[in-house]
Amino acid sequence: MSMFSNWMTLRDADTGKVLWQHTEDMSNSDVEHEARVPKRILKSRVVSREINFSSVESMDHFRLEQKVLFKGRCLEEWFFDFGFVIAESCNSWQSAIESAPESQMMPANVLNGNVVIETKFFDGDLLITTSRSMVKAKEKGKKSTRALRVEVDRETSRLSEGHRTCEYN
Amino acid sequence: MSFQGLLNILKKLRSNPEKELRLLLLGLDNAGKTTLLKQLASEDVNHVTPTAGFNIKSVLSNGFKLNVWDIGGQRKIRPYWRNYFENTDILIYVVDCSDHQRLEETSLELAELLQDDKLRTVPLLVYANKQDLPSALPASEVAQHLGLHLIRDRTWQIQACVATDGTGVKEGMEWVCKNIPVKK
Repeated sequence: MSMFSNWMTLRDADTGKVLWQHTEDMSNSDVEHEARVPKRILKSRVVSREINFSSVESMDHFRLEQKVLFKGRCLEEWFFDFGFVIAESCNSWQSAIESAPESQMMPANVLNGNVVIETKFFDGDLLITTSRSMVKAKEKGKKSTRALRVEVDRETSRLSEGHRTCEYN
Repeated sequence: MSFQGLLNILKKLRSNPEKELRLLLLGLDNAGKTTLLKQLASEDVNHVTPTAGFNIKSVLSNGFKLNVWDIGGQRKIRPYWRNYFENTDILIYVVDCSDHQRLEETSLELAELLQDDKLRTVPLLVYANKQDLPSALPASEVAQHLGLHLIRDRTWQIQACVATDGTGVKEGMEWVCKNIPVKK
């Protein structure tokens, strides 16, 4: 089964601004990918998660299970049924949960490095792949937020180039 | 309209017994479906590329769930549209009003959708998009071409809009909120 997770984006859902973006195939389950995010992500009221994936073959019962884990404990989870996936397609799913106020009270330094976003992709009951990303805030002073913005913008342009390769001709 | 706009739709849903809402965005390629979807989430609309599959935005708030499905409109993908009809609460059809040459093509595609059993009685919102372009036909004329006045089996609405700057988008979504059918 050829399925690729192309990129994942975290956004501040109130402003739509990109907080973090990863453009490599993250569905390699052997490695836990590290998501270096600006510290302000931990202050965002709602953070949306977008994953982009492509599939070579068509699938009839495509679904995923996404969990946000804090020290292995599940903070948020979302099971989503896509159903049919077109062969040679590029697809995206973005989700956002407006969470209860008390769960936002967790201090940033506690969340930092302890949060993992785990996404499992299935066709029916068959597990295709798992992607795991650890969310870590950038150390203060190491890189300014401004520098990060530039980095993200460059990734965005590279990303739209990459996207073109999976269009229909 | 912002992400908050999507949440507001959910808040209006609270008076509805339905806990999950599915909106389906269809239309020809280059009609502006993905731009519209991004506009709903107040995202940058400058890097939109043709959709070779689907884009979905899901929002969950207080147990209410909203899923907006945007399916690619290229000719090669259209035969797959019907795979995404099931459980649709509102059909949103997007038309590029400046594309005079393909008005007939988009009318035929819409007519076919309206005949489908799985979309029977599903309310229809048509976004008459790209009203900022000088060559754009007004919404009333597009409605005529699409034969909307002949529809008898469902409620419908046509809304002039500019997906790139958000003009008219909110008004359309307000209509959506008021016309969510109660499922049996």
